[in-house]
Amino acid sequence: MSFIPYAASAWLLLVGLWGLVTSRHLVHQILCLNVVQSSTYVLLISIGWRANGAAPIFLKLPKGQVPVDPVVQALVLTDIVVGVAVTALLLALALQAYKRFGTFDPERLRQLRG
Amino acid sequence: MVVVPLLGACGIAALGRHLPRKLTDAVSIGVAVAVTAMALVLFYEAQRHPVVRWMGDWRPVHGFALGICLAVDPFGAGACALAGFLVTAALVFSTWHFDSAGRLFHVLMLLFLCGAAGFCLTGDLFNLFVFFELLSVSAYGLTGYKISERGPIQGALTFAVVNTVGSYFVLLGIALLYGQVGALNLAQLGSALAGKPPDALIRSALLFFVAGFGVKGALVPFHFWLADAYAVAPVPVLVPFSGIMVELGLFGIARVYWTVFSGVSGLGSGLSGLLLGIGVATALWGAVMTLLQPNLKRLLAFATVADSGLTLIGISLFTREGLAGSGLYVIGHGLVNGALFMGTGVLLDGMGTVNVDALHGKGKRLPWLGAVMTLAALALADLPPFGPFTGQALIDGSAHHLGLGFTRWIAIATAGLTGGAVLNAVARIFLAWGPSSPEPEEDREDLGKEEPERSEQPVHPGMIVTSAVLLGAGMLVGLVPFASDAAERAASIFESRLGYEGWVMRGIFRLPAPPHPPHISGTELLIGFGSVALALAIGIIALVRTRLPKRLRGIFHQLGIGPIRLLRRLQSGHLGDDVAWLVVGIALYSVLLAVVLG
Repeated sequence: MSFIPYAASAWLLLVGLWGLVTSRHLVHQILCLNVVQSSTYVLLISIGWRANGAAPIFLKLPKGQVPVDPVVQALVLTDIVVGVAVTALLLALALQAYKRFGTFDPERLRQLRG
Repeated sequence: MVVVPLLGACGIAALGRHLPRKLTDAVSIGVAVAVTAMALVLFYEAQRHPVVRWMGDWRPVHGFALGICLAVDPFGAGACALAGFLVTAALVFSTWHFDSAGRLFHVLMLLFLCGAAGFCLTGDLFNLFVFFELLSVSAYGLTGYKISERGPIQGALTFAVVNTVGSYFVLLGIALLYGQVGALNLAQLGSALAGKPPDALIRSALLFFVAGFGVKGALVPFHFWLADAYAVAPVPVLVPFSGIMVELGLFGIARVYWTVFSGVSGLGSGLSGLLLGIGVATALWGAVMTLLQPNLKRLLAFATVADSGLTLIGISLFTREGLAGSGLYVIGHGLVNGALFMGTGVLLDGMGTVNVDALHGKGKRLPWLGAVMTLAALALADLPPFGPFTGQALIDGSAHHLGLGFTRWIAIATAGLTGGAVLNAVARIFLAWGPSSPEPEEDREDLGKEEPERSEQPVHPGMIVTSAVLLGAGMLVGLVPFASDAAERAASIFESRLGYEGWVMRGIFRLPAPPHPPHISGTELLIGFGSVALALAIGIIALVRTRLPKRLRGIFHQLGIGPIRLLRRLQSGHLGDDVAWLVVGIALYSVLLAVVLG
């Protein structure tokens, strides 16, 4: 069983988190969050993979063919929707930050500490 | 219960533009009240026989769950009722407090309630995640509601990003479990994992769940987002935030542990120790930070962190009494915190600031509010025989039986510190005691200035009444005679994995053994009075701080300033820092988990 998809998922997670930690731009932060989310999608889809599997369209499945797991595909679709909602909300906030305060730099917006 | 708020939210979103404001207020409050009522009915029903509903009638076949179910046990129904009650109170409060609460506020609040209800009642792991996200995204929107100010944007962004990363760790855990077992139903997962040794995959999944839900539950070191989010969210929103949202994170940990992981051999005692440690650290960190906040909302935010820590201590005991105590504690503290937040809202309305230094003495014209907030502070310090005390007493009794008596000192310290911080603030605001201007050696930035949520008008008495009602409810929870019994029965149903599997998959339910009558011994009463005494002492010390002899003050300053500066600097408000701490926390907990599991 190839480990490459799992390695890719782990890499995406780490890269996304690194980007979040070192980011200086609101939109960049939001996109790094998307990268973190993508790591879970890759992991889920990899889990559903079956060797020599066919697409899980059950009306047309050739005999003897094992379909890949459709449940994880449904999970990923749901997660993408959740991710879209979060991204949309965050981008709206970032846009407001730019409109009202003229900056995308989280440092210039930082008011709360201690 | 899930559909009703969803319909209400959509209805308001669609029609709200054409309806007068009073009508949208009435509709949203009506929906919230309906949800609370339905949840209470379910609570009573579930005590006799927990309720299971399979969506689309996809019933399990040969022990394999094909569909998604709602599995209502009394604990979940009770949590749902608390959520409904708090959202109702917040909506009622906002009719007086919020000038510009457009229809979006009501929509978001009802969606929040929908997410909370679904989260408490579902029996499917992925469904749990989806409702968790619905709850969270509504919360992000509500936090950033006052979009015209700089602070809400920062607070909402930090909140949203950190919590989303946490949620996606939960999703990673779900992926790992699904890969191992091939099922998403909580009961089925539990039976599949039962008897297995805790291998790396199970441990990783558990860790991801604890960390992911722990971000929402404000456990150390995932808690840095909470103070920033609370400082900028509109006050009515903070009532359900502090009362139920943070607690649902802990509920998630408990639910997933008891239904899925409790059958794994050898996991319980190690995890119990780890959670106990996290709870202690969270409680103490939160308690200490409350003393350092000049901003009332941030002060109460850290009080919430401390409460969360104590609740986790109760859960981590993995006993019936501990869980029952945590449940009562959550109800008591949620309501009392809600009352305090409402009081803060009244102050914000009347005086335009929540900075304790700026408010010095200005509370004199609101004596009733002062009385409510003082009582609330004492209840926060676990004054017997009221609500928070009852919960704490149960937890303490259970801990003592397990030989973990040191937790009572943690409880005294935490309750004393948080109660003292609030008493100090209340005395300075309402009685004009204590120093009237900040001391020069402390760099307390003025973080309290925010625009009031309505134009300057005299304070409507309804707001104070609502606050008093919440406080009364929180305190009376402890006095209701069958509350402890009901909580223990609910906890015993919650904790039985085999029982859960029985009634979810096969519809078989056996009543658990009746709980022995709760026995609040003299020791617990002493502890309760002890923490109140500590709170009063701390309050007084904080007030007369400037009058102490100079040498004494010098000593305290030398001892304290290093750690205080460190704690302050850690709470930097930087998103990057918060995420970094999240990663460090996960790494640390994985190491600790490996250590305790051997």
